[in-house]
Amino acid sequence: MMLRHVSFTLLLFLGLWWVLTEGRWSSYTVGIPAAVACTWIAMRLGAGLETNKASALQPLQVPLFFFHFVGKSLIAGFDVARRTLQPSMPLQPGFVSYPLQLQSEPAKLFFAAVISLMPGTLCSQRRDDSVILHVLDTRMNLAADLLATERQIARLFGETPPKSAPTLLKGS
Amino acid sequence: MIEWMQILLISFGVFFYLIGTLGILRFPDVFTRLHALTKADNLGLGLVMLGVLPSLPSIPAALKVVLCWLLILASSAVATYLIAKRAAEDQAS
Repeated sequence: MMLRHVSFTLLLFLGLWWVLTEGRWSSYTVGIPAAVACTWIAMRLGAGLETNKASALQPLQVPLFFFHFVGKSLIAGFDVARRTLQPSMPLQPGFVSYPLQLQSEPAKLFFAAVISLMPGTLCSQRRDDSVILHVLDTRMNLAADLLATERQIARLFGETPPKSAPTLLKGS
Repeated sequence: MIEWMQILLISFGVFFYLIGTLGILRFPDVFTRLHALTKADNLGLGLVMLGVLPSLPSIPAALKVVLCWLLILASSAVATYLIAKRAAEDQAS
């Protein structure tokens, strides 16, 4: 398991080197030692984060998450465009508190980062098991959207996806 | 055919950049401006990236551009959070 993890990370860094040097083979005299060093550092740093063994990144879920993300980004962009261009500028900004059902710290952190790129929401503060979101329009039905994203992230980190949306608390 | 697609994608990308800038000018406060900036610019950058991809000489060169997009997404999410957090704290005190 550990060996698999190390070799996967090493492959990732070698791939990164390949991308950065645009496939120049002669550069690998520097590239291979660099990739090995990066893997070692990644292992050292990663050890501190791994508080919960049950939650590890699921490579097969990455494309699924990516499609979810791209779809939502499109909606987010068009939503902002519509609000910006309308002369009346339909905004009803406010703060809501969203209780997190994700378990591990990396998953929560990832959710907080991703949610700022999703339609109508922006993470403004983090608590232990909730996030304070700034929303562009408090009339939007955000709970369903947020739950869909949270479920995707749960699958991405190998956690059981939450079933029902929590209630959003208005105000900060 | 591909060239027309590229022109279309880049034009849409530029349009969203314009929206982001217009949003900063029109929206009333820090938070709403951050919304305009993150959402519109990220989509704009994504579209410009897609438009540029077919013109790149090799697969690693294309992947490098995709990597740039992902890194900019990450930095934009983090920077947004830091600005919003500071603004919320200032507002509370």
